[in-house]
Order: sequence, then C-alpha cells, then structure tokens
Amino acid sequence: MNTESYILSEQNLAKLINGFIEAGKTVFAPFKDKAGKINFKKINDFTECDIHYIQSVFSAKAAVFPPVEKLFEYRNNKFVQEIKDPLPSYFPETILFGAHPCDASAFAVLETVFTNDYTDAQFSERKNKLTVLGLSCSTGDEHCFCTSVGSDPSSAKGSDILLSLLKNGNFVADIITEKGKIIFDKSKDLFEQSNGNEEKITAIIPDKFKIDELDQKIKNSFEKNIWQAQSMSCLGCGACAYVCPTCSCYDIQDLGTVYNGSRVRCWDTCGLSQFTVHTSGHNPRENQGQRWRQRIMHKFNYQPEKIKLLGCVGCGRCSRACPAGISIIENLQKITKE
Amino acid sequence: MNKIIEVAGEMLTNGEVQLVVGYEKGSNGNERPAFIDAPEACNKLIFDGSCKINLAVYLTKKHIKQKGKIAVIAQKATLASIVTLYTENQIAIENIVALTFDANSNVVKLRNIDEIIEFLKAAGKSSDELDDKIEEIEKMSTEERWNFWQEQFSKCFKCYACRAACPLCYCERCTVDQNQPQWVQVPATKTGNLEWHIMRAMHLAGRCSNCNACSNACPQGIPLNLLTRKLSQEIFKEFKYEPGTAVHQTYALSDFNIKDKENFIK
Amino acid sequence: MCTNIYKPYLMKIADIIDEAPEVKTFRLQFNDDQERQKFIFKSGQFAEYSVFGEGECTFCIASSPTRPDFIECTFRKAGKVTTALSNLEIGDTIGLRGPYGNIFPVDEWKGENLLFIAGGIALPPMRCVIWNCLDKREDYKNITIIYGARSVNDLVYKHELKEWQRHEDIHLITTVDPGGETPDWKGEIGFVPSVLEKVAPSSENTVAIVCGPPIMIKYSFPVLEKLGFKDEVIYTTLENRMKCGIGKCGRCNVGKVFVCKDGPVFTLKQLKELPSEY
Repeated sequence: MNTESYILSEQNLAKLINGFIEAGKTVFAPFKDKAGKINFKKINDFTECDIHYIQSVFSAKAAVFPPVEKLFEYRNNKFVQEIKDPLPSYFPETILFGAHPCDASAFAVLETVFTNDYTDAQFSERKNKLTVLGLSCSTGDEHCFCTSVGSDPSSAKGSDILLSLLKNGNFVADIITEKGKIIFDKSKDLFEQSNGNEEKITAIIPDKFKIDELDQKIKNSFEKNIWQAQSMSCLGCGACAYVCPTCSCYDIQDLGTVYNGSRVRCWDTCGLSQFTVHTSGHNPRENQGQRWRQRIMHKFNYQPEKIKLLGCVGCGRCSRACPAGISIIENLQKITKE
Repeated sequence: MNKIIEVAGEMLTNGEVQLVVGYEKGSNGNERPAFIDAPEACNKLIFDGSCKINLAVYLTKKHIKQKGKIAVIAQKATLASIVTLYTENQIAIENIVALTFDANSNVVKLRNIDEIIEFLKAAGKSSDELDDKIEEIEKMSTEERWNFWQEQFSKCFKCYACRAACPLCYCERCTVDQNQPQWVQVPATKTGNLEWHIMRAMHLAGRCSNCNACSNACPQGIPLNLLTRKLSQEIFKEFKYEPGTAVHQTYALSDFNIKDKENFIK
Repeated sequence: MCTNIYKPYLMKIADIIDEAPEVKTFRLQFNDDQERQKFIFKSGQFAEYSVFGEGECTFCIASSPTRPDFIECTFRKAGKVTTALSNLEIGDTIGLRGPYGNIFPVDEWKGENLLFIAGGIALPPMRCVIWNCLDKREDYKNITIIYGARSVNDLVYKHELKEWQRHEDIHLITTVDPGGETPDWKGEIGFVPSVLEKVAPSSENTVAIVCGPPIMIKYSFPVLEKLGFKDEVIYTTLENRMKCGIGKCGRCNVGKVFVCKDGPVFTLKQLKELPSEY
C-alpha cells in the first residue's frame, strides 16, 4: 500500500498512546530507570516513557520473544496426565512504541527463524498481535552502524507506523502497513495533514565497512587465525547475544515438579561454553575463539545464505554491553581487511 | 604512564615475559583489555582511573596461560585477586609479574606473593563509598529492602556478565550449569534471578576483592557489588579476614573450627 | 493459538528391557490411539522424549515404521533426563515430540547390497533401518551387519542379535574389544574398524551405513575408503546436542546446517562440506 504521511503533535502522540493503554492494550515503550538505563517495558502512562534515547540496553525483541516463554503446563500423576496450552490471555494485544528502525527491522529475521518449516505458535501469537510504532533516529553514536548493513536511521522496515521527530518537537507519522492504517483510522482526529516538506531530524550514521567486501572475505575465513585473535579478551558471557535484536537461540526447561509445572522456552547463547557440550563431555566448540567464530559467521554468512537476511541490524548494542569492550565494528572491519 | 610502557616494553624485549596484559583505549573511546606480545605495541598501554576491568580474570584463562610468563598491570583490587587465586591454587605465581604504581608514581614490579601482600599492606585500606550505600540500605525496613532488591533483580536477564568479569568465578562448570540436580533455575524468572545472585554472593564471601567488576560488567547497572561488599564486611567482622592480606590456607565459610560460635543455633 | 509444536504426545511405557549395564529399551504406546494412527515416521528420524519436570532428551526412534503398533527407544543412563527415564516403571507416562530429522533413503537403496557398521550404543539408530530393510528383504541384495561393543555385556539387542545370527539372509559379524570377551564368546575379538578391514566387504553396488562413537567412525571411514567406497554412498547419523529438534534453538547449528533438520543422516560427502564442529 502507498505510504501516507501525517503530522502528529507531541500532545496528540501522548493522547494516542494513553488511548491504547485505556483501551486495555499492552504498550511496550522505552523507559529510563533509576540507574539511567533505557529499556523497553510495559508502561501505564505516556509520561513514563523516554523516547529521546540513542539506544536501549536490551532490544525490543522481548515483545515477541520474551526471555521466558511458557510452552505449556503439564500434570502427570497416576490419575491424570494432561498438557495444557497457554491461554489466549497470555498473549495480549501489544503496541511496541518507540523502537528504532534497527529493532523494527530485526523482527523480520526473528519471524523467519520462528516460522520457517515449523511455526512457533507462541511467537506467532505475539507477532500477530503486535503493532509497531517505530521511531526513526534523530541521533546516533560511534557504536551505530545500521547503514553498513543495509538499513538506515529512518528505515520503515518492520514498522507499521513510523514516527520521525521534527525540529518543532512534533512528529511526521508515516502509515506503512494495513495494521498501521487500522490504528490511524481509529484515531484520525489526532493526526493533521502533512505538506510533505517538514524538516525531520535524522541521524547521520557514517559507513563503517562495505557489506559485500565483508561477505566476500568472511566466506573463506573459517580456518583463519583471526577468530582466536579477536576473542582474546572475550569472557564468554551472554551479554552480546541477549541484548541483540536478532539473536534467537534458546533453551527448553521444565519448571515445577514431576507432577505438575510448566515447560518454558528461555534465552540461551552460543557464547556460553556449555552450549554445545554433549552428555559425554565432548564439546565441538571448546574454546572461545570457536564460539566467537560461530557468532560472527552465523550472523554474516550462514544465516544470510539460508534465509536471505543478515543476522545483524547494526544497532551496536553488543559493543555497548560487552564487559570486555569488544567492538563489533572494529572486528568486522578487520575481517574485511584480512 | 610512559614508565609503564617503558617497563613493559623492556620485559618483552629481554624475554622476562612473553605477554603483557594491560589496558588500552578502545576504538569507541572506552578502555579495554590489551594483550601485547610485541615491545613496540606497548605504546598502546594506558593506566588511569577509567580502567575498570579486573585483569586478574585473564590469569586463569587457558589461552592466556599458554603464552608463557605474563606481566599484568594491576590495580589494588587486581593484586588482592591474585593473592586469592594463589591461595586457591589457580595460578602459577612464578609465571606472573604484577606491574603497578606506588604512592610516588613509580612503577613497581611485584614478582612473588609476599611482595604483593607487602605492597597491599603498605598501600593501606582505601575507603569504600559502597559502605555508605550499604548503610543506607540497612536503614530500610525488611520490606523496603526486599522491594529494592526485587526491583534490581527484575532488570536481570541472566547474561552472566557479572560472573564472566569476576576473576574469582573461574569454575569450569559453574553451579548454575549443573543439572544433576539443577541447583539454580536456568530461566531468568524472579526466583531464578534471586537464587543466582544470592548464590554467587555467597560463593564469593570472604574471597571477593571488591573490584566492582561485576557491577561494572552488568549491562543493566545492577549494583551487585553491594551484595559482595556486604558479605565482605560480614566476613571481616566475624573472621577478621580480608582477601589480599595473607595467604590463607583456610576459607572462612568452609572451614570448621571447634571454637566457632554456635550461639545462633537455637 | 495455532498448533503448539512443543506439545509432546503422551506415551505409556508398555515394556522395559534391560539391554546392557545402564542401557534400557522402552516400548511405548500412545495414550491416544488416534494420535498413534496419525503418527508417521521414517527410519533415521528421531524424537524428543520428555520426563515431565526433568526435561527432554534426544534419541532416535529405534523401532521401524514397518512395525507401527509401538515405538521403541533405547538409551544409556548418562545425564539428567536419561537418569530420570531409567528410574521410571512400566505404566508411567512420558512425552514424545516428533518425528524430526531427515531419513535414511531406504527407497534409493533398493537393489543394492547393504553394509551396516555399528558400535556400542549406536546400534539403536541402525536397528530402525535394519528392521525396515529386513521387513522388505526382497528389495535388497546382500545385507551385512558388523556390530561391536566394549564387552559381551555391553552388546545391545542381544535377543535380536541371536535372531539375526540365525537368519540365512543376513551376514552378521559381532565383535568385542580385546579383553571384553567371555570364555564362551564365539564372535570376533577386535575393534570394529579392524574387523571391518578383516571382513573386507565388497564396495560394488554397496551402500555403507556407519554409526558409532566418534573414535570408531574416525577409524572406519579410512577403511571404507580403502575398500573402494565412495563418499556419496557412506551414510552416518550425527549425534549433536539438540534441544528443539526443529532447527530453531541454534544448539545443533554446524555451518549452514541444523543437524536436527538437515540431518541427522548425512553422507560422508556432505559431512566433509561441514566445518568440523560436531
């Protein structure tokens, strides 16, 4: 459908968001906590959110792929053996508000992983009930590199409505999808006509490397020494994978007793040493260099070849979160120059 | 700073060490660990107040140990960690030289455990601003304290950056990775998070160097150092022990002494 | 919510056979007969077996689709879930999620000679395909089975081995590692790869299916090569750590493949194209 643009004043944006909350929808928005960190959480009023941020610590992927997701409940005793699906109420209608284009474009990667061949019902429910009110970036920093991976700070990919900040503090709202149109139609009175010439504040993100050069080099990099060198300081935690909007590895655990409880899906990461270990003790990726190689090659080679989408959106969260100060941009640049 | 660069460069040139583990400025302006095996690369080294990572965490890593003799640029907390690692038989001290600055900004080379302990003694105790924060929390009611920590742990995603950054969390298979039995829940639930942090704090009691690496590593800025510092205070109160002050052959929480008080057993 | 792909079938343990120390076979029946009728699997596929409250573990389906009244699995008590499984009794309920994975292309093998090489606890994935081929015996030419274990006691499916020994239409060679024999042992003594070299089956119009501990596989492949087997006709089934079984959780990702989805059956040719991270 053709993208239509309207003006949404800051006041009316607040009304729009509060309107969703009043209508009983779950609104997931960026929020600054007492430690000054921005994260997405369920808000009860527009005033709780802080949309003037460069990047949140954790991505917005929890809206469709939460850290802990109930798969089913079970009961197993002499008299009763049954398995119960999660109730529909477990998956509320959700508005994700204030996600940057990097986060919004990551949903396509997650969707492909969770719905190809076998459809993960829990993910599907959440994704179908999710509407994304994206927010294009008016600032960035040295960790951002969306422009190097085929995106940009005002990309509409993954957003149902994309808001862009104007110099006067109001927003241009681009209605991108049918879902976005439904929202717009319900609150038409909050939007004004746009003359198409409003001055948006858009971040400038310089290119850090050329993706086709990286693609060429990485294809033949498996046996190279560069992985050991780059991962010397890696401490083998899960910070980079958990903050990442496209990382989707998970574990399946049972919580409860042998008589009743639930089986859940929870985040996991290939960076942890025990990820691939066999019960026999054999570990196909026994050192951090091999695990670092898996991370990078999966995102920039294996996954793109399979699903035609890069496993990275250039948000830079991994570099910001890494306790050992590893910079993904620097490492990708080094691979390109190998 | 130049002095460290000089000394480190010399040690590599004359073969005294094969690797220097220090700090450098990262491409995004932050400090990060540096692993230098060529003398000319030593000019990357920095050592200032911005250096937060406790480099002792690398002394137990196989891929670092393999390099041979190592010079490590050490802050006081790193030195305390080295003493604890030595006490727990995790490092070969003869393969490590700690480089640090004394009160007169001279580079000091500490080659054995006694030198490290002496140096720490002479440097004296530094005040810890955490103690004020702990006092603040202790003034709260039980309910307020519980809520404070529940709020903090609700931010935790169990990424284990805290564990990864801690030099004393060197177990190849951490308690949380044990599944027979599953002592600590894997998923990041309220219970799972609480279990994890309390368990880690208890495993560090009497061992923690109070380097703050854990809370610095936490992407969410959860003040985990308060938990470990609190337990450090308790261990000092009850057992008069502080890591880095001596090579203790006993460990406060796992050693039974017939003279131990039992007045808390009702 | 659409079909919950994580929901297992409820199965009752109908029989338990002690195969070897710490190794058991469970014969399972679907609680719901309609589910049993709709459950279609092919040899080579595996399933995720649940002990509710403990977790899931991955093993092949050790029975054959040609015998659809029951499902069998064989496992060794090794980790958390297998320990829980080995404490269960007849009548207890477990979960089964599957069938997953690719298959042994038994139809492609019609008219060929078949050489099965298995070691220890790796006979179960092969038993499925061996039964499948035996149940359609006329489709295949010579069938040779070389099976070895550490000791006589460690051989699994002892009852079936006797049956296969008696079968005129199968050439069965069993072996135990040196030191693993009993005084009345009549089979070979030696590691599987050396017995393979000794027996030296012809590679002409023969498909080789190999399954065993990594070390056995490592030494068997060169022998097969020496005997003239081409990489495309040597099949194996990989045993990576798997969780979801459906190519999503990432655990069994090796290069561009997911062992659970693109495998676990691979030819040696396909294996050589993968990074050696399995």
